[in-house]
Amino acid sequence: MENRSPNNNLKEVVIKDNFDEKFGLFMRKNSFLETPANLSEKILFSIERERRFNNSLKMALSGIVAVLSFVGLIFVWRSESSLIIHSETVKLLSLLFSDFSVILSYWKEYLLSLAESLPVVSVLAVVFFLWITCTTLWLTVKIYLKSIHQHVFIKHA
Amino acid sequence: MFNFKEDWYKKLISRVLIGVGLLILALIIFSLGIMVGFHKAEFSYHWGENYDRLFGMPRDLGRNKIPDNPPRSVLGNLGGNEFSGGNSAVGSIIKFDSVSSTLYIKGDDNVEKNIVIDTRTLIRMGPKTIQPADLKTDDKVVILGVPSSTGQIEARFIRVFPPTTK
Repeated sequence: MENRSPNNNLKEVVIKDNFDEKFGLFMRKNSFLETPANLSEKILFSIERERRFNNSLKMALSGIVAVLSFVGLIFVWRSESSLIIHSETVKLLSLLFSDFSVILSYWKEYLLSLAESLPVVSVLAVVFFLWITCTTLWLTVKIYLKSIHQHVFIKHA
Repeated sequence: MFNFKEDWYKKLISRVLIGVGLLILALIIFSLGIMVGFHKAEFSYHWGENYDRLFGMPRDLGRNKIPDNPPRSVLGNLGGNEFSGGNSAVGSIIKFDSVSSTLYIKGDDNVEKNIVIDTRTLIRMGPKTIQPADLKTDDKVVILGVPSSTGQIEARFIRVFPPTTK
């Protein structure tokens, strides 16, 4: 059986009354602790705004890189196209269509000829810029379509 | 000790395997590049060393002969364009020597090449097979052959394109 003196009981009541009074006073002074009615909408709006900003930034960056790489592609093509088109490789490749059976007989010499005559660095430069242009263009379109889809989704949610 | 159900083990092993595979592929491609480059340089060396004998130029001018006006690109000579391959020749006929069965052609890169024609050489113009005597000056040709140690190309197949009329 708990041995509680009357003084202890009195102290507990006083402490409890003081706590209630002070807690009520604290709550009345700090009314910001009450949640506003449209808090969830505000949070979602902030998230959506941040997401749109990030998407716009990504689209802008990939778009700029796509344009620059396209300009580079034009420059490289203008300087290297004659070397590629008039190389021996193109003429050797035409033999595949006209004399395929002969090529099969001398396939080792044919493959070596192709490897020796291929303007590797020129082709590599053109293909590199083409790849960068296509990749960044694809990324830009992908981000744009994704942002449209999300916008429609939220609108109808 | 090794719990293969752990994801990070699987990822590590697969990444190591893919990395080693890519390294092997890169080394194979690198080796092929070295082989082709050596092949090309070897023929160019023999061609330069024998230029005076093959084309009748004085020895002093023939030695260290390099192609005249090789095609230039903005990327310079990174692709080794100064060297000429010995397994093929594309260009127009300068001269045909019926005595020695030797064809002299000049490529689009202004490199002259000496082509040896023998009994194994197949010559075609259009759908027809022709004889070496039917070859004419200024005919455009594409030649497939084997390089010799004397800087010549032993032709195996010659495809002749008649000159375009203007």
